[in-house]
Amino acid sequence: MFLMCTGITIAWHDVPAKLIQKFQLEERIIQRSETAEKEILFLQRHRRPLLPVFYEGELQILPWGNRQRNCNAPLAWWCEVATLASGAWSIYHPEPAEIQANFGLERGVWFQIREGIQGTIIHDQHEHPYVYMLLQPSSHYYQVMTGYNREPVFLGEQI
Amino acid sequence: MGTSLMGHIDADCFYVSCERVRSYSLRGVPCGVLGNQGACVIAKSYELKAYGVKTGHPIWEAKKLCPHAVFVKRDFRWYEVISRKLLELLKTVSPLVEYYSIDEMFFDASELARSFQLPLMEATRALQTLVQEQIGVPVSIGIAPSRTLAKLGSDAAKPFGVRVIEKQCEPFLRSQPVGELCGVGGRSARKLHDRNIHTCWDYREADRLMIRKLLTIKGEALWWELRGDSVTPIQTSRPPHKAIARGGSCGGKTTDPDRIRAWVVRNIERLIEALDHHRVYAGHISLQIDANKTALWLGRTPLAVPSASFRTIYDAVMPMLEAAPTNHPVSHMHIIAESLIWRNKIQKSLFFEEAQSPLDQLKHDINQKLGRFAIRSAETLPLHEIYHDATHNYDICDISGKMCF
Repeated sequence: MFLMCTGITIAWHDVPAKLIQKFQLEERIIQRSETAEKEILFLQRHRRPLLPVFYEGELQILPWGNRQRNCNAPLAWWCEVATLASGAWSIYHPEPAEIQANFGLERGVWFQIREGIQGTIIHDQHEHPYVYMLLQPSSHYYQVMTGYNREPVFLGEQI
Repeated sequence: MGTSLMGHIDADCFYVSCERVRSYSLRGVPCGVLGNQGACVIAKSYELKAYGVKTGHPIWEAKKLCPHAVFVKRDFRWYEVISRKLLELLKTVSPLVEYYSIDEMFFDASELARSFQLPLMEATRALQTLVQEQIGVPVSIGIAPSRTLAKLGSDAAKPFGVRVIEKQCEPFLRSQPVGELCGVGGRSARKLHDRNIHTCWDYREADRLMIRKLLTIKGEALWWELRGDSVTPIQTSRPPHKAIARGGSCGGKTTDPDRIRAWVVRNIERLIEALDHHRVYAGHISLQIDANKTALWLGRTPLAVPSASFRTIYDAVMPMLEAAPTNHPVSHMHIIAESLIWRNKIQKSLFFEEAQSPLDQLKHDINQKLGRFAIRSAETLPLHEIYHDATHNYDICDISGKMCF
């Protein structure tokens, strides 16, 4: 069972061509109508889950959470903002990051994201970075809209 | 002042267009704007409409019809900004403009050709282009000798079209079902169909007195307007309200008495704001409670003196709430102020509480300065999720000056 925003898209023109090529993102391009902009899809259920993140002054494509047991980054996709605030993840030295997104997907409902989503980055024993989406209890509106009681921490807005 | 040509400008899928003004990524995307609770589609783009999604559809049905549609939270404050920009732009090309609704305006089009130094049709297109360039919203425009014909024209021209209608417009009126007329609802249309009146041309050619008998003087006004004789002038300011109501959905059905009281108190506070805005006092207060959108209970109480005091209105509403049946879950409610009287025309009294107490005034001043509901009744605390989200604080009815909802 997935417990969070299960996908996002970002405008195709916002992603540098070298990143599209390096991560083979062409196969993830979608277009909602003939006149709509092309978008790049990032789903949690992708074989190689990734997220576009603004980190260290540039857009990077990083692994979305960790699902490898031989890696010492947390085995999760997301992090509750209250958990992070409690210091429970401080042993991993989390760093703030901004997940870039135009649209989000939750339980089959696509919704608009104005600026992005707050995320946190954790490095494993090999200094490889992983990005985790920050979650919070959902607002009444978000809960009615998507039917789910957790929502991402959005940048500059509340849904 | 008489107007020889009426214009009607109607923004295409207005809420979605407003969202597209500030979010380029929504252009071309099947898009729906969700209402106050996030449950229902209140506006949709033409791309979404093509999938069969209609206004009022719940999101769980809409997402089945169009799984890749994007849904946006409504933002009435932004829509008002765009609406007022459109109004101001229109005032630069027309001497008379009526703010009919948030996305529709009537205007005096008799100077339009001179204003753009172009023939009428080209001038209308130039106005459409001007709106698109300066505001970013696509509009459809109808120009005709009467406002009914102008509105029919803009409706028929949608999306992003213009239509100039002459007084003699038989083919056009023959193509328009009578139900398209603004003011002819389902019941009136059925009455007309029974008399073999199916198109706007049939209506125009029908016996005037028969129409008057059937649909009253309002129906007759439409009959004249369809003949190109303008009988309804452009109104540049809204006539005084006969009643002011605040209310709506209770965010889902509830039988919880604390939540019901909280919604009542929230709506009283919203009503008092509206009374303050319009500078009137209420002589009567009504409470309507709905279960499944069907009126369950309606109480009406006269106030001892016209008032906009929280205490007075609260004391009038709460006994009505106590008397309401409690065995049905409440889905909607409205609090209605009637017998309105201008504040500067009130009879002073020695024996009753002031129409507004110093506490009411202080609450008003603080909320003006610090933001809406910065000070509110503690009885609204059960609605923490509503007050936690500031976007719930501005609704379509808070946009003042419009002729209709």
